[in-house]
Amino acid sequence: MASSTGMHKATCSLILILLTLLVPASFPAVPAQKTALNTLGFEFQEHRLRNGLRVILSVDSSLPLVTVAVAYGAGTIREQPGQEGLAYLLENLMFQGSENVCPLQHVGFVQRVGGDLNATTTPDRALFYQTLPSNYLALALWLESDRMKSLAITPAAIEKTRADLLNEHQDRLASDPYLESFALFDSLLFPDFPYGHTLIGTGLEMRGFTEADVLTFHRTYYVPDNAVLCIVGNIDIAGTRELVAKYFDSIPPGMNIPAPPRPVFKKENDAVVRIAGIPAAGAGFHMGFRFSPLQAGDMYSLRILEYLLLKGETSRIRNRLLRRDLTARYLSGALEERLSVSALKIFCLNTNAVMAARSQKAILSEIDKLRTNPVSQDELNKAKRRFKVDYLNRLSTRLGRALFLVDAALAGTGLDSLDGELDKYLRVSPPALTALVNKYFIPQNRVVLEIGLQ
Amino acid sequence: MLSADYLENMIESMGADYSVTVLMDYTILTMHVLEEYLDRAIYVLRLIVLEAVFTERELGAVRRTAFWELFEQKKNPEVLGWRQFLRILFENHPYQTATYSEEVIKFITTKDVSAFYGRFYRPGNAAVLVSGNIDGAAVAKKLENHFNAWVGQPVERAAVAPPSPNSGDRICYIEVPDVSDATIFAGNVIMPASDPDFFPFLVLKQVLGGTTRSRLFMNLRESKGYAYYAFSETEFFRACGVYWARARVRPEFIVPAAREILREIKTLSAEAPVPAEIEEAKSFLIGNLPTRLESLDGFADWMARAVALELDDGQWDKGPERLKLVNVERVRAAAQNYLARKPLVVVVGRPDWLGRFLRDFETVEVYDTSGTLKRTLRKGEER
Repeated sequence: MASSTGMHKATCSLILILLTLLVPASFPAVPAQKTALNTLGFEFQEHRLRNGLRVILSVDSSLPLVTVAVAYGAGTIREQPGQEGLAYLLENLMFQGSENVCPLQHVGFVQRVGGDLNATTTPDRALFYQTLPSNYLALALWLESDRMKSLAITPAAIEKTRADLLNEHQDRLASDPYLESFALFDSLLFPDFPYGHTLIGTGLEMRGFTEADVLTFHRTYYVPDNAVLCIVGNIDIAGTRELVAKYFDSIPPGMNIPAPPRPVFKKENDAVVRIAGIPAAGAGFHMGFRFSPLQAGDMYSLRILEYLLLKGETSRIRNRLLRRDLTARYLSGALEERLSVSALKIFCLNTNAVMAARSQKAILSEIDKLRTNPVSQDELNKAKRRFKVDYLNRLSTRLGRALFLVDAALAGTGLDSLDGELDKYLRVSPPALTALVNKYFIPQNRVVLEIGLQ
Repeated sequence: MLSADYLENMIESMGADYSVTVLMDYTILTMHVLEEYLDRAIYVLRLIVLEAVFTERELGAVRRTAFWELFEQKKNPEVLGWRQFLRILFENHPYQTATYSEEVIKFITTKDVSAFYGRFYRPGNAAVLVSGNIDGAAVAKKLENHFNAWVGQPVERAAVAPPSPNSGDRICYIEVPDVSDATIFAGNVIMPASDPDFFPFLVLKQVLGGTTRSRLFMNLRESKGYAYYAFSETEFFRACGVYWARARVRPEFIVPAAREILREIKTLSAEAPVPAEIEEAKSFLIGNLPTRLESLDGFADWMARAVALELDDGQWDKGPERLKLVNVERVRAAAQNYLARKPLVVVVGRPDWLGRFLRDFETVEVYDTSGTLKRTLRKGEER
């Protein structure tokens, strides 16, 4: 293993030297860089290119690997009514070729050298990433820059990608009886079009997309000044900056990128909607609490509360439903953190409607207890330890670190705030949790969707 | 006596993740913990391993969990197909017990569990691996302090002979009512990981279906449009390994897709890949290796398997070098040794597809989701 690592490093150095010689002498001055010395256990630098592309670099030479991630502010909240599925279609079209890359060749180039790659679309962003041997950094940058500036959007590519996505969606609907209920639950929890519609819509909207629709979306949002490029791994900072400039600096910035829409949620009493007829054994429900706007600093308490209630078999709600009362046969729950809104979502399956009703009451009762009885320091510390394990685990890979940095950059709060972030979670106190529950866990923020035969 | 609840509370109070993986030859207990809790984690691990007690109440709870897991697995065509594939490949072999049914779980007693524990949970049959931000010497000392009380009795572990590979045409069909696509498995028994053919076979597996650039994906999805995906994989035990191709296909293409998979395997057995294809496969395997070792979990899992399979040190630290030495001749020899026999085929699909889409198969064995043979259909018979 040691000799292999050495070989990779030697190859890497050779390639970087050769590429350095190709960089023009008139290379433009870059804006002043920021260097972050932090408590995260790794360092990073950020700078912007002239076209607005935000670049974050972080060195980790422990293995001959590098992760290259590019995130665009091009998630589903950018879609207008009738455009449901456009962001997802674009994400997939990004693999269908560009000026110098044939369809699926991006995948082929990365896999040929042992790399892994993937992409996702969320409400806030479209994200593309690859982890590959670090001597192929230039390859990854070239591939990402080529599709940023010259994506091949053709009627044939649109048609093929659209057909594949709709077929896959139909397959998923057929194989997961609860999938539709998740989509409906989101629309109830986030009653505002940009935030409440699903990744793919009904499928009808996608069938109507024209080449012009797709091109307009790409030209508007897949531009350097609406993107973050993050590189983490066995890199040389100076050489990597030159490579980034070489491949991305000539890409023109976007024009008039609209600001992301702010959510405007209707304030109503808690909604309970029943769906009957889902062909599944037993009963179940979704329960969610929406938090918008969330005051600065409350996210730390909210995240620890998530762990206290739902993470680990001895967390309050899991313990109550699955170990003590035995009213649920399946339970999952997590805090969903978006840029402008967050929500605590719980999904529960029960053997019958009576058990589902008991489970709902038990969840509300566990939350109510927190309104008046401060959590003990011991129990709070347990939740924090589990959170810390997950937090550090996320940062243990190059990809995890890259996505962490990209998310922080897109959140717009500044990467400087990451320094000491973990401590802020670990300093959450029992009174802070009590205050949080009383402030946000109110009927107006709660939505319940019951499923199964009632 | 320490209850399961007590141990679970101890683990969770550290914020630790704890998991157990049970395979044919070995069991891996894994705890992922903050470094400041390492001492306590070792102590809890000692309690779990050295002071285990099995009560009726706790066995009942485990039984309920096992029933629930089996119930859920019956809705997952991938798991159903995989279990049936192993169940048939390991017919009348000790490894078949890994594909247990509810009936087996129902009749296991605390006496059975205690007997198994007493027989196999012994120091001469175990290894402790610790990885992370540690001082190796200090941790070794701690392990010694905690585990030196473990009584070292000899372990009766009978050597398991490898099962005979499948050698004839055999199509097995599992009827599942609610699936939208068919899932196909096709594969056979191969050598264990300690065999000299191991690395050449990894290259073969890569050429066949390691990535979206490999033969199966390019043929079944990109060229013919039969499949949503088509890949190949391997798994290794002490006595043998298995390889399999796995594809999710549209029901109307079950027969042509299965035939294409068998044809691709047969082609590889008869004709070695060209050097460029071999080099590309090696490049992937060498380049991808570090990504599997990157996380603490990945590293620990890799090491635990290497120890459990009793692989030599070279398998661990000289993998890339050994892969580089794989050439056309060695790939050809491995293909002739292990791909020439006819693979076992398992298809998971809806009952009504049998009559509509599988009429071209000569013989089809039809199973239920528990793996019980319901009937055998022959070509020309009413389905």
